[in-house]
Amino acid sequence: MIGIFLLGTALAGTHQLGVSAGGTASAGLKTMIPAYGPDVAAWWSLSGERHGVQVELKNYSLLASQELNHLPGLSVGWSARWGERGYSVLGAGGYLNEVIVALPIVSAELGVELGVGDGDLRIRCGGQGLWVPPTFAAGGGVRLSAVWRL
Amino acid sequence: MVLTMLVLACVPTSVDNSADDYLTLRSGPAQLVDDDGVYIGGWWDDFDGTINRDTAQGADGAWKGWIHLNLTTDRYFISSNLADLNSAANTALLIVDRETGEIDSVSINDTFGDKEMTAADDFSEVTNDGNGSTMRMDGTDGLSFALNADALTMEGSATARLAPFVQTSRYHDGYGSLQWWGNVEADAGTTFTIGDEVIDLSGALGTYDRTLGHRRTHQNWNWLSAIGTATRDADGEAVAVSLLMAKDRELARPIVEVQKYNVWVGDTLSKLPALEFEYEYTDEDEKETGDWRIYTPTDDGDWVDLSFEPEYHRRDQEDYLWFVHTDFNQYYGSLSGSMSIDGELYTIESIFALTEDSLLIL
Repeated sequence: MIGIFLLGTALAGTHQLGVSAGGTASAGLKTMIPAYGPDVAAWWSLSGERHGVQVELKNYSLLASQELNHLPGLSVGWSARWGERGYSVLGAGGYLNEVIVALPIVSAELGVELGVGDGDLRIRCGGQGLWVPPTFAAGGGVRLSAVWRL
Repeated sequence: MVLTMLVLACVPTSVDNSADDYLTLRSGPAQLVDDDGVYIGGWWDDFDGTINRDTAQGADGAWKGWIHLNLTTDRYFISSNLADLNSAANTALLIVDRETGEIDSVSINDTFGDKEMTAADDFSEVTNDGNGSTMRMDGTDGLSFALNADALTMEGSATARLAPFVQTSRYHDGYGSLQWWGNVEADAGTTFTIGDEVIDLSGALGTYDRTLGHRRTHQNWNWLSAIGTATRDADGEAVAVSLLMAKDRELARPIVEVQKYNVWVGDTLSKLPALEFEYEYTDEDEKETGDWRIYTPTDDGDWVDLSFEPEYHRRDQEDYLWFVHTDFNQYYGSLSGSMSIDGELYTIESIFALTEDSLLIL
C-alpha cells in the first residue's frame, strides 16, 4: 500500500525544497533536566493533493546544564495539507549523539503556509513538538520555513 | 510539557519513614519487596531473603547497584567501584597521595550498547568484560577484586573486620535500596598499580558499600567515611572507630530520613538518632568549602560533635542533554571532635576522613 501511495504521489505530486529554522524547549521526562536551543533543517518533500512525504536533514543544537550539544540527523515524515493554508508534518528520525548510535526523535509540526507574491516561494509558520521515546524527553517550540515549489 | 509536569507530580518531595523504625535492629525479612510491590524498610541484623526485584512497582530501568571499596594507608587513600546503573556502567579507580595531595583518577563510563557489565541479582558479584574488572563479595566475610582502569589497576582481597550495617531504605512507590556497609582489612598481596609503580596495600583498612535497588532519579547527599582510633575519656584507652554516615540534601526526590548514621566503636555498631552536616561554600562555583561541622542536633542518647577540615577536593561533573547531570564532590581531610556512645565519652584527634557533597540526576 505504501509503495502504491508513493508511486501515485511521485507521478502526480509536487516536489518542494525547503529550509527551516526554529527553536525548542524540552525537558527530560524522568530527570527534569531542561534543554533548549535552535534547530535548522534542509528538506525535500513530494506532495500529492492532500498527503506527501518529507525527508529532512536536521540539526538540533541543545543547551543543557551549560553545555551545547549538536544532534545532526535524518528524519522521514508524513505531511498533510489542511484546507487552503494549513499543513502538518509528523516525522521520525535518528540523530547522532554521544550515548547511542542514533537517538530517535519523533517530531510534529502544525502551522499555516502563506504565499509570497505570485511566485513559487511560500513561507511556513508553525508550532513544533518533539518526543524522545520512550521516556527520555519531550518539548515544543516554533519553526519558520521557506518553501520552493519545483 | 504536560507529560513532564505529570511525571514531576508523581514523585513526592519527601516520604514519611517513621513506620520503618530505622533505629531498631531487627531480623531481616524473607524478601526485599512486599507483595504490594513496596520495599520493606528497616535496619537488619542480616539479609538473606529473596531479591524479588520484579515484584517492585518501581520502573525496571531504575534497577541499579554497585560494589564500592575504599582503602586507607598512612600514605594513600584509595577509592574504587564497579557500578551497574542500568543504562550505563561505571568502572572507577582513584588514589590520593595524602602527603602531596596528588590525585590519580580514572572513571570509565560505558552506555547502552557499549556496556559489558553484568551483575548478580544480589550484587554479590559485578563483572565488566569490557575491561576485565570484577568485584566479588564473599558473603559478609569480605571481598575479592581485580580492577582495571587504563593505567590504574588494583588486585587482591579484603577480610571483614566487623559485622556490617545492613539496611533496606524505602523510598516512594516501589523504589528503595538494600545496602551492606562494612569494614575491611586488605589481605597480604593486595596491590594498587599506577603505570609501573606498585603500591602494597597489605593491612590497609577500609570500608565497602554494596548497594542494590530501584534507585531514585534525583539523588543529592552528604557522606562521611572515616576509620581510625578514638580515646576513651574514662581510662585514656585507644579504641578503634569507624564512621559511615549519609544524609539526603535538599535536591533529593523524595527526601527520606532513613538514619544511616553509623558509628562502630570496637566491635559494636551504634546508630545515631539524628545528624546534621553544616558548612558553607567559600567558592560556590567551584564547590570549595570551609570547615564542616558534623553533629547530632539532639540531646538524647548517642551523639557526635565533629569538625572536618578539608585539605583536598576532587570534583567530577558530567552532563549530557536530558540524560544525566552529576556534580560529584569529594573532600579529603582530617576529622576531630568528641562523641558519646553507650554512655561513654570519646575524643577523636585528627583522623583521615572523606566527605561528599554530591548531586546525581540519572
